[in-house]
Amino acid sequence: MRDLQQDFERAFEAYNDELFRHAAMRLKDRDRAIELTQECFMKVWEYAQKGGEIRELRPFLYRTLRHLIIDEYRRKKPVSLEAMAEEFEDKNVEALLPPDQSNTLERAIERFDGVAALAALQKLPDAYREALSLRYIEGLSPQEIGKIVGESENAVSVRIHRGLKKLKELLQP
Amino acid sequence: MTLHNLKHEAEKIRLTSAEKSAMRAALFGAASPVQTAPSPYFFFSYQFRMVMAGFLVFVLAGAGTVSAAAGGALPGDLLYPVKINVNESVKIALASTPASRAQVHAELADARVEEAQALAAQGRLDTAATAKLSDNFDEHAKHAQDLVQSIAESDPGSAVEITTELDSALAANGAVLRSLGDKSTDKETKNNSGRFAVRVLAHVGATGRITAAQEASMPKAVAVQMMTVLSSDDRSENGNGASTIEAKAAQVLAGARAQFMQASSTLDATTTAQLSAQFGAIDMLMAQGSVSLGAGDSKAAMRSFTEALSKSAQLRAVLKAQIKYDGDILKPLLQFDDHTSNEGSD
Repeated sequence: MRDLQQDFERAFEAYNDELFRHAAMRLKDRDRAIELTQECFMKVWEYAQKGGEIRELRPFLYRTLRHLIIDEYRRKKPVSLEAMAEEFEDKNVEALLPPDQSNTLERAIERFDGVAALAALQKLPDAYREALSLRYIEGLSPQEIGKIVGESENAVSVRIHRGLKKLKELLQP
Repeated sequence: MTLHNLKHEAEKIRLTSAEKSAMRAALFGAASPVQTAPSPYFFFSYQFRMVMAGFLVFVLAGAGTVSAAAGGALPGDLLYPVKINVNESVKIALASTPASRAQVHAELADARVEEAQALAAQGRLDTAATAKLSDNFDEHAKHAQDLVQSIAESDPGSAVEITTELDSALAANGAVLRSLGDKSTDKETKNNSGRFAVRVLAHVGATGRITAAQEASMPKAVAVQMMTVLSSDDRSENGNGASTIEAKAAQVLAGARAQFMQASSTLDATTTAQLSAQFGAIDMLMAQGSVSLGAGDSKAAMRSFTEALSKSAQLRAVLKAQIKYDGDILKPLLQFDDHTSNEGSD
């Protein structure tokens, strides 16, 4: 039990900032982001204490946080939830788009000031904000993001590409 | 692959060390490892913490979700008593030094004003809720003040830091409350917001405006506290104090910038430019403070850092309200014209 707690404390130290940052990017409310980050760690800690199996902790934490964020949207913003649902329904169209120009888009966005890029990112629909934050701020691969959001690597790549395009449009109308 | 510009900016969004400590305490039922100073009441606090640890195990086992959900509760909500009597009591109990206890009481006093804001924004700040909130506000503010006084000699840096952050946040939040009350169509909310705001602003001797003028930007209570510390002749102690405040000011400034970024989509171009200028002025104060500290003038350094902390805490509070209530909260509070620059100064 002591080992488990030590491992979990190490995980807390390693991931608290990035999970909080991710929650803050999605919720735009610092206090709620703190509360959800804490609740995320609490739920995973409870699960671990009960002997639940966790193969990879970081994606597990992100998945838990993701559920909490979705619950939060559901509770507070029914309109946004519909918008989110529409985004996901749109994935068949996304899958048809070629994901090949990402490098060019990344280079274009890299030329903008970080403050402007971050402000623009926060204006994107949540599904894009989630994918782009995980990819370009936390540095996760499309495959790792796929595990968190429960979708295929290809679907994630397409969403990232599409999000980059939207981000560039916002930065360079 | 990362976008370096985006990543660099986003990494400024972090938890403060106080927030991390509170989270660690809630999760593991122990004080933060960074708090190394032994308590003079070690035996008592050790036993007490064991009791608290047992209690926290209970919280983790079943009531964790209730406790976490209570965090956002407002007076009149079912979970509000859990927030006041459980969450906050645990926070106070786990603060082991007078300085950390003062900090917790300061945060709780400020929390009451923010709760009043939330009720005012919903047009339901009734007289009963106002009475409860102002009594609890007075209680925490007094505890914070007493504890700050008790450490003023031994730890002047923390004393100035806590007073400055609290009073600056209260000055801003009092003004936000008044502004929200003014906009309310509910007469009772309007009256109660005004009454509570006056009480809060009087507590810190503030005018309820954030001005560009240096002296006017600081609530009177902060200026008094700072002068008390500066009147001390012990240069080395002030040097330590200045460094403590420098770190705190940098942390609060980063928080304010993060709020600025989050609020950016709700701000018009003029307000954005005005706020950018305010941030520029704070950066300047921080630079001045570092130069003074390097030159060995710790009093000048302390003055610059304290002012930077005060302005940052005010901006952070107002921007936080702007994000929450998404109205034109900022405009009536920001005063940039020269002819208003003397208001609020002593």
